[in-house]
Amino acid sequence: MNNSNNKILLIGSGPIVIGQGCEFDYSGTQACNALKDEGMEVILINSNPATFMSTSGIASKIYLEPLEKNTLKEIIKIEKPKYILGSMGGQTGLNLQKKLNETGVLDQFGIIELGTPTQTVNLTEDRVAFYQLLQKLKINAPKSISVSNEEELNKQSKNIPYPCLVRSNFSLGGKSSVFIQNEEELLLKTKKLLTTQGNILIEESLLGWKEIELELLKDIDDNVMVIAAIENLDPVGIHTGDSVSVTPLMTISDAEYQTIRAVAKKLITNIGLIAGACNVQFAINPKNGEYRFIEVNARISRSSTLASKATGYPIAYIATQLTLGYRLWELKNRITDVVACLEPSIDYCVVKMPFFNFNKFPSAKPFLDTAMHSIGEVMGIGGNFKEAFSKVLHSFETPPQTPKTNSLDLIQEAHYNRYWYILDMLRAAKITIEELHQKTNIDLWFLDQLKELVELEQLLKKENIPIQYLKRNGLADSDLAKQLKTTEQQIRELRHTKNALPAFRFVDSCAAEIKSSSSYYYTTYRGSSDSKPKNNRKKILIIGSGPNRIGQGLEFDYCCAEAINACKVLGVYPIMFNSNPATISTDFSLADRLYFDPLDVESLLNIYNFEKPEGIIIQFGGQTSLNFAFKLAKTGIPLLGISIETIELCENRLAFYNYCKQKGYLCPSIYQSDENKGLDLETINFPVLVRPSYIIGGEGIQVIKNREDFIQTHSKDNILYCEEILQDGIELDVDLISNGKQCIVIGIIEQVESVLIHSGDSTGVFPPYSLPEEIIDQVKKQSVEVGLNLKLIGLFNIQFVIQNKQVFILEVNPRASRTIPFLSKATEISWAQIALKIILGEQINLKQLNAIAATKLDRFYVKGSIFSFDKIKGTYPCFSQNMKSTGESIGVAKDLGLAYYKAKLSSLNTKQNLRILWLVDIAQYVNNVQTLSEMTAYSYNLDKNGKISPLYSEYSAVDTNFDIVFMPNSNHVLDKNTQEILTQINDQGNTLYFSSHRAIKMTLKALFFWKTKISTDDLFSYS
Amino acid sequence: MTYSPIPNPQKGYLLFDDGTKFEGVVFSEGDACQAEVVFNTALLGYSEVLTDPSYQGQVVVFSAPMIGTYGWNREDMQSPRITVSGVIVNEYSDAPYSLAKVLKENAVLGIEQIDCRKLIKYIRERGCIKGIITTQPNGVYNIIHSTEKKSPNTKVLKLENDSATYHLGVLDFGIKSSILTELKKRKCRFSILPWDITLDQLKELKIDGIVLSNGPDDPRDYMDSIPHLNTILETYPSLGICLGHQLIALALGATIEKLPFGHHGTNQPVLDLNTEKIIISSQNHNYTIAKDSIENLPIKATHLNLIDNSIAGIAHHSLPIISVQFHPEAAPGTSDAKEIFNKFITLL
Repeated sequence: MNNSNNKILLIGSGPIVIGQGCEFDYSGTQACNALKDEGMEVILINSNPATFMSTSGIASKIYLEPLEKNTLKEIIKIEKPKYILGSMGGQTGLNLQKKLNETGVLDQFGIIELGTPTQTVNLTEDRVAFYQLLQKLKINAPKSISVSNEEELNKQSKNIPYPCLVRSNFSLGGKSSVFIQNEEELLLKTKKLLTTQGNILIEESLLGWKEIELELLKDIDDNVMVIAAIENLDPVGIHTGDSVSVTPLMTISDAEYQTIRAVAKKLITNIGLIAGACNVQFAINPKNGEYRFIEVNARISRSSTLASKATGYPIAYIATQLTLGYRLWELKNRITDVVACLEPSIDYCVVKMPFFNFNKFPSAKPFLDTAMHSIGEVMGIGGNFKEAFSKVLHSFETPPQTPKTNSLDLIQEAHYNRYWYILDMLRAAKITIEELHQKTNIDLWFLDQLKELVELEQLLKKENIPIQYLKRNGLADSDLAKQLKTTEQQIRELRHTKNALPAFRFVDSCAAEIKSSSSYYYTTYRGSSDSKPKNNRKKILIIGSGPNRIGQGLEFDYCCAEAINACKVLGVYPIMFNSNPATISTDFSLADRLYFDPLDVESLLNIYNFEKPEGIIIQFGGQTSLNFAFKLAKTGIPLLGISIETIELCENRLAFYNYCKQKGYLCPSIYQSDENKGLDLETINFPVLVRPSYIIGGEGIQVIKNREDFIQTHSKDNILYCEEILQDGIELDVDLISNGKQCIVIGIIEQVESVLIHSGDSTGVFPPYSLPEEIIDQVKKQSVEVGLNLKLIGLFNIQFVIQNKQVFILEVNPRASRTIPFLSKATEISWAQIALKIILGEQINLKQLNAIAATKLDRFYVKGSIFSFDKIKGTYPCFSQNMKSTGESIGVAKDLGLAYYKAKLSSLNTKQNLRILWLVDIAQYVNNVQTLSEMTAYSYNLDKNGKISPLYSEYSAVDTNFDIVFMPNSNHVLDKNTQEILTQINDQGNTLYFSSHRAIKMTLKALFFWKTKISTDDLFSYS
Repeated sequence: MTYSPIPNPQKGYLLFDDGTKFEGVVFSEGDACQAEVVFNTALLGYSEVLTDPSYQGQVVVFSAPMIGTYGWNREDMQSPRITVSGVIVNEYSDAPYSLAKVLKENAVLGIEQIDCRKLIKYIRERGCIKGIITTQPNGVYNIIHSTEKKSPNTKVLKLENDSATYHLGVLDFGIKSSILTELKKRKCRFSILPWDITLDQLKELKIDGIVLSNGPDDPRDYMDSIPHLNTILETYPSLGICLGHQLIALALGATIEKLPFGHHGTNQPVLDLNTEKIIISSQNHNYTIAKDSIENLPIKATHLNLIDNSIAGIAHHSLPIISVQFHPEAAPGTSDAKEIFNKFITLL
């Protein structure tokens, strides 16, 4: 190998799924920065177009290609890198590196694995071999028995201490581990697992033990340091990703902590890990302080991102430097200018709470267990535990309602909203903390803290408690207003008169021991501020999007990060405000100043009054940030680039409907309720859509098929209006940018799925593939007109439906949309940056950019939605106006079929044969059945056809192992039997679902590319 | 648990000679006093810190957000008593086996709700500084510049160990029990000695080596009482820890100087210059060996503090003498530096 070759292949983590989220975008970007700072040539591969790491300029060369081994082999052949780094891309990155290693391609090209080598992956995944290592190192692990067949299982079942835990040898996000209470349950549940997994492990249960995570770094000399130790409030039994957690440790003594620290150090220096980050999880018995090792992740993990944000220590950046051979003592934390090997110490509390979307999956049981279910998280930094915990509670835009049923049962079963229920029960004085402890095993100290929080709420009505004291103990202005039956505004005024004002402190990683600096701030009502704001440059405040959730994901973090970058170009001082620890927008090396606080009015006003920026930017953080327009309406805070009137017009359905009528645009009919009579059901042309305004990801949108359903589900009196559905129409997503004088279309995305399916769940094709030019021209003309007419500045998005060659306008979103990163990658222009520049008054010739973007249209760019149905056990896949997909992937090719294949089907690439289940109405696809028979040449197994209608009559329910399920018109209510079968199929995992006729047709077309080698001409890359 | 959601009306203060005043509320009633104010950034291990003889008579400020959360553990104690004379925390949180109760029983004044971050920045800038911890807002600062004369123990205490191979003499400036525990694990028994013991007295005891313990304050205050220390060092294999380390350096001819910012935590990175490995160490000191003062001495630096590159450990060129500025016994802190004890055993 040539010595001048310093090319490194960096593997991204792909689409966001439950268990693998935007944290790897943050860490991957840090890795790119670190590698480039060392003069390395970084070749990045990721299939997720919404990521910031895939932004032009972050890596030396970026391939937006499927993360599967055949594609990577092709890329390796072209690029011939010297190194490969998989440990920054989550389990996906490491698994892929391992697969490449197994194919021999790494050896063939002499590629060196950095960080975590395949040997380590193999060792940590093979639980039997790993257990032997633990024994050798005298590390206490849960007692365990490995079983590979039924006979062994029957033999061993008597010797097992119940309750026990059953898990397979490989897991992502804790998938495939089951709690077993007794022998009967063991035999029942494990037989099925044995058939699918081959080899299972039965372990001593640590139910009720405390769970602790350590985030460590290791260098090539086996120097080890701990960045953070994180204690879960929820004991063992709830996946650590779903647990509420706190740092520093609260209920653990130094002696207990030092024991596990020493064990972690011994372990990670004995698993073949060369250098990098490592996460080790332990259980501690609350009765006697005994420990058990639970798990090691020899890579950057979700928790390492959390630990970075909790301590101000850039773990991923330093870990990357370590993989290049630096020793810990040779490096500096560039944020704080402190030596990198000083273990962070903090003088505040940090609480993390996960965000769940169980509301999207009504058929799933909303209880937590050893598998991960959460989709995002929020973090609160406070002077004490109560303040941090309260901040986390206030980071949720819509706190859950208290259930009508017995909430104690829900708490005991680990309902995902249990902390709200616990607080409610304590408020109502319905329970003691001892009883709660018995039901939940949450440590009494934590429960006592929650009780204190609630007691203060109640006492403040009776006693004259200084407001400073209440604030310091976490009561938000909104809590005080609620208790005192007054407004937040009045509480704010009271606080000002009593001088109960927050301090602005920075996160320095060293608890003020060493003089340091930082751009990373939080507010607290304890103590004094660290510094005054800087005033020498024009400042703007950018509001982020809060926790990642279905419907509002990292695409908005991408937009915020790009807005920050644009500020830097302009010499403007960007201030970022967000509450999501996992994301790139809260990377404390990005903005000139970061405020990590709940996205509520209190925090925003505090920051605004302290920093006094010129205005705030609300168009980049999705609906969450846009909603601030209304929350701030009477505060006089200037919104940049947008007015509340414009938002009102776009988002108020009735106002928008009237606007369209007035302008002569076609739009779906709206049926309004009469003041006296309510809705006149006779006039309604069913099916219709019932929807609230200002929504995220279609939450609350319902399709009502007929009059009977309407009467059943809604009282006709309380609905203001409902909307006509343009059945059989084709939906278009149009993104535009305007400076008020010029307005151009960035791109038009044609949705493959039916209009009944949320556009975020649909597969989008750019440019449109099935519509005549005159229609497209009309859409363009009309959208530009709307943009100029509404005086929109910056980015906005319009949705159209084409029905019978007529153009209907559905809605206008006056903000950066979900598809902006996708279109930015496709057109190779950073539209979010340009939008920010326009908002700040820069003169930009949009017509010129339009011409550049047009040159990229020689290919198809397909945006495929990616689902996490299989992570939510006991549910079945279904598609509706309520968005369900958790992530997206991109496929680019000259041939539409290939592009679609890459985006949606590339996970099938390594399958020997395909098993497809087709539900009903095959007649519609006669032409394609012919296609399918041709495909048998590729050992294509089809469990075909109309015979399975009515469903499954001849079909054995045991056989639920499918790669693809076609379920046309699934938006129609599925019968119970179908639901059950689909649930079983879903529980197996790794199945792709296609629902509308157009999607099925497209899929069949794309399956031609199954097993064909992707030619190097069709690889999509840029730099 | 004894938490009351109503704020405690009893105010407590920390006063300094320049008029700086920090106000909080009392969580443990105790005696007011004037003492050196030091801070510690350890997140855990308050039981160990508060019983550490190195903190004898000092007021300790914790940077950790909450103290008391896991209660009081007797087995974590580093000496049989509370050694500090005052405790300042951001927030006190009670737990079963209450820390506040233990402090109160020992009449140690504890104040919470003090802005410890601001206080630590203040101490950091002023270095070794005395203050008054009191419940009186107008306490008069009585400026004492000279340190009172140190006096050694007078008794010899024998600590036996059935499986012992070595007999160590411990010059006791305030030894932490975990130093003895670590050495006991390595087959040592001990005679805990007054630190002004003479060489002749030592010879009678038939010891195999000397440990110079940790202890409070400025090492230079002790030197008048042990002018013969270098002859002891020439005779016995020796291990010095923290104050003991500084005394060894002084006895061998080095100079001690004050650090601009002391080291006060369990997170202090130290580089072992021999192995080029990092030790995450526990430290609590304001003084260090002046780097240039050892240039012409038969001493080499063995360890460096990586925060400021100050000397964190030394060894004699030819004699079996090693000493470290940090606490290899930790407590609180990591087990990274335990190797120092093994090294010392090989010198015996």
